[in-house]
Amino acid sequence: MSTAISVSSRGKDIEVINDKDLSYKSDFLSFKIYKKGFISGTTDGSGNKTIRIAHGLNFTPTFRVWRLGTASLLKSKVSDLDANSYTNCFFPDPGNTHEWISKHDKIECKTDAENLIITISGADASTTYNFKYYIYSDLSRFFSGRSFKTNSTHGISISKEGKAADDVEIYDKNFSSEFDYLKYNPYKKTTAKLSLPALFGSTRTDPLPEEMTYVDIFHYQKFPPNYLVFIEFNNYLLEEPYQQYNGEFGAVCSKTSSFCDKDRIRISWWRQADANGTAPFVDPIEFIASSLTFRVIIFDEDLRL
Amino acid sequence: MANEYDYVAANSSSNFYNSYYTETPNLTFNAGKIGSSGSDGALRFTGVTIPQGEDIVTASLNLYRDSSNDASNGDLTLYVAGIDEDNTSAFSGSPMGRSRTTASYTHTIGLPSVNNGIGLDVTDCVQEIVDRSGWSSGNAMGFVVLDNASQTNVNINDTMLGTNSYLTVLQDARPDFTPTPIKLNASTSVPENTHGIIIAKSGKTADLSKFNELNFTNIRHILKAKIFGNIGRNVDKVHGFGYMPMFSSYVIFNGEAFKNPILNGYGGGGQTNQYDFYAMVDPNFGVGESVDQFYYVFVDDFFSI
Repeated sequence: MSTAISVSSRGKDIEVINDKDLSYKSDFLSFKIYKKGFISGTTDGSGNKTIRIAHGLNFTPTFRVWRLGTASLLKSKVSDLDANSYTNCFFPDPGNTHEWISKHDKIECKTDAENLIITISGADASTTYNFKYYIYSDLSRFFSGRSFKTNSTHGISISKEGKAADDVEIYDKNFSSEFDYLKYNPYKKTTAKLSLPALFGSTRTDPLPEEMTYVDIFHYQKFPPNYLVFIEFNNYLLEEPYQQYNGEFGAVCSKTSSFCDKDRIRISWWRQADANGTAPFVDPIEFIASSLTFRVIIFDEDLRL
Repeated sequence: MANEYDYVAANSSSNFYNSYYTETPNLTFNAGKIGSSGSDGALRFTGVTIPQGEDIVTASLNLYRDSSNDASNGDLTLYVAGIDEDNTSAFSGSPMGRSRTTASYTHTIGLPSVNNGIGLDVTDCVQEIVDRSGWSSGNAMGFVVLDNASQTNVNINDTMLGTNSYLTVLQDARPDFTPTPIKLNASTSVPENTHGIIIAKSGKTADLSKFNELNFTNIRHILKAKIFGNIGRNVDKVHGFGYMPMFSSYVIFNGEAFKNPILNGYGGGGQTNQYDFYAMVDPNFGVGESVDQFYYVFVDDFFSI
């Protein structure tokens, strides 16, 4: 297939540049932001609430959800790490425990062919939870039927290979100028490294010692930005948040969390030994000092809008 | 650094002493009551690698009983103190006249069976010795263990045969460690230049818009993805990029899409290396049911520019 459009970065020769360094190439699919917005839900007396956001796409789309709230450190054993609270913070990907906001794991986000569904179960009673959501007009599972098809006048529409650009389902477009995209400055990819010392647990001292540290990345965006964090570990790249039992990252339990506000993206790393654990863990138990490298990409996308 | 070390009393008359059996050289440690007579002992440990002034969390003098003398059970009541010296010299004679640490303990403890031991807390004794200005890592450390009204015929006897008594020191475990957090700035953007291509959002003027008001511009990159779909559980897939790419992934279950990583919900999450990616699903997620995955692997290179 011949490439329809390639766009290089400033100063890069389009004839010799690698795909990875292109601003855009029509051979590849880019997430098209179909719908975004804020939604809130107040839980009942049992801490339950289901929120449905209709998308009308007739297929199961990709999505991402952020939770809006106040950040404060929840780990009492390491509370001296930061006693401050931070308002108007965005926490990515509910569904996982988080060191800086409670009940994050009580929220499940998913899509089906009709809705983005946010289900809150067993969270705080009679409490309002606030979310920013993104629904993309891209598939999260293969689909070949009819979908919502935009009626907008196109500036530029690029279909996938073998599809007619002027009569194509929305999910078969690699690009359409009517949609917004997550855009990043290629010169603003940031790396941060966190290290923790050896961790020792013993029933004669503390069977469940904890360690924690964090990095604040000041982004100078003047708004809380949409971002992605990945963890480089043992020559692998892992999605953040990451939680692991059984010794990976050098502890019985090890977990990363992140959030952002208008000033910073904070990435924290917490880990715990367990000398009360069952085999193969023993008393005492010691984990070696370890480091994690975080790769952060910051988008020109204001989460407040 | 959290460390727990064991120091064994090496087989040498330089390290063992008892006041009852007066053989020369003295080859046995003994403390307690032999018949109705008191027996006092001493042990010396060489090569104790604790830095001067180090914080001691716990220290235990572990006395090992490797021969059966007199009673098979009963209570030992023992007084224990450190030998208050910078580098305790060999026991060429009785060490009982040497200076003792201010810190001391009296322990009443049941006599262990043969080939078992008892642990006596000596934390403050060890702390006092390593706090001496003349103490150096690698020096020798000694303890006296005196009978203090043990029951008749109840004594603990450690010969130089078999397992020897040992000293366990847990130094500076620093549980619940919180290092100074890191602060860094996002990498600096290169000077902006004239756009080659601008596509503004509806209602915005292309050349007057901020980045977050643009749908596309060539001086920003947008994520460029290849789709890998219909992936089952825990599958390696070759991406062939030659570098570790970012990705975004979903777990499909019962026709619904869950954004990875979902950890507490026993979901999934992936990882990439420079050759392939590994799409993993927790075995507890959808037990006995069909679970599929859908991956967007981004061509964008996270590691170089």
